[in-house]
Amino acid sequence: MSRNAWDAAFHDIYQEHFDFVWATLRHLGVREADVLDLTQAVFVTVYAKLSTFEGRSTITTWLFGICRRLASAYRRSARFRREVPTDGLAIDRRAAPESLLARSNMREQAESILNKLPEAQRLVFVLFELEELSGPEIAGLLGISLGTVRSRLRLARTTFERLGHKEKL
Amino acid sequence: MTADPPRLRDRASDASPLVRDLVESLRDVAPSPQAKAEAWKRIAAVTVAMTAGSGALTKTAGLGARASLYKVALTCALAGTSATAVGLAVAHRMAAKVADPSSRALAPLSVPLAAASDDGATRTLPVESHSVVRADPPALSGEAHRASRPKPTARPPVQDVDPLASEIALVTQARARLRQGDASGAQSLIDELRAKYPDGVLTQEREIVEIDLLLALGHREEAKRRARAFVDQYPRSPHNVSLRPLLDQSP
Repeated sequence: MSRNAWDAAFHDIYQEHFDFVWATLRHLGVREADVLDLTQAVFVTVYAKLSTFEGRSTITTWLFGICRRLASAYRRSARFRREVPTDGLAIDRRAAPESLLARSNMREQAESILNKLPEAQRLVFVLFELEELSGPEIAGLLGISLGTVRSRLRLARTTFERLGHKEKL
Repeated sequence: MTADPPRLRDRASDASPLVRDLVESLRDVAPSPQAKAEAWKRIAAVTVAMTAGSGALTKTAGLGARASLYKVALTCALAGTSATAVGLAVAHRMAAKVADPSSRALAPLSVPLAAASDDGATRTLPVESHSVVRADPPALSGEAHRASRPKPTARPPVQDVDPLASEIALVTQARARLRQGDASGAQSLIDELRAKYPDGVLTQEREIVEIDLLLALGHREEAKRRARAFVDQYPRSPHNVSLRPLLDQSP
């Protein structure tokens, strides 16, 4: 591939999938203040490894794998500071209209529940409920059986629901 | 094979309205258009450097990759971005592992994370830094780099970079805290870095963040003292260029 074709391909991937990478990182626990940094890291990795992408998986599957590894390292490094509230929220709150505030509270709460799910369950939950992949797609992506996908999803849903109602009280 | 269950946000699911709202709220995480443009500017600065000179990093390993990483480092410093260094250091580690298991000593030089990057604008490195950076690694000809190139399969998988990625994440977060004006948050991350990676790949970058933190807190003399110590300890570091204005100031 010529340099120009290479760059064009990379630019296309960026344009097409930036939002996906961003949302995926957020769903995998990267906080708002850090997501721009991590998104860049994902795309620099993509650029460096574009030649190893051989279409064995879909591009989103490949991107998801990169997001997952970087987010996982990020979360391990952040584990000592879990309790720190999401950055910038205090500032937003003062200016935000009621509806916005409610939405942002809701999301904050949902993220906090997501952060409490065991990693394996969280991945399946995010892929199924938010990325809207099918069960078989998730099984292929994570290298687990469809049965395992289903049981993790069940467990994750139960926990999510329980924590959702508990935190509401 | 049975079909997938309906998704929680679907009306067909038996999720409660609360759960449905919670899931719905999680979908609301789209980046701003500005974020997309901003990230592209920084990424482009790095990718251009990655393919400049001795060949694309993607196609090289060993010496060629290492040499081009100096250029990456330079551009990263020039662009004043801390974030891109995350990917960079990943790339660096990929190259370093192939090149030479003992190449760790090179690492601080070749990954000047956030060399000048509080805000990316006020402390842009001057062009002379080209010579600073280039003085260390000899430029490699295309021939030399082809000859030293191992098989492409020698590239290690990304999983290998995790410990380094953790260190990078900490430095990135420390700088983010500093940018947000959270001095104590930045300081505790720096302390954590020092404890966990006393001899880390990003020791120099940690020092630079700490110097910036001192400046932000108004401890200018202490910052200068640390900057002088830094220059003495790492006389060939590309960071030195960004420290120069501070050191040149009259007391």
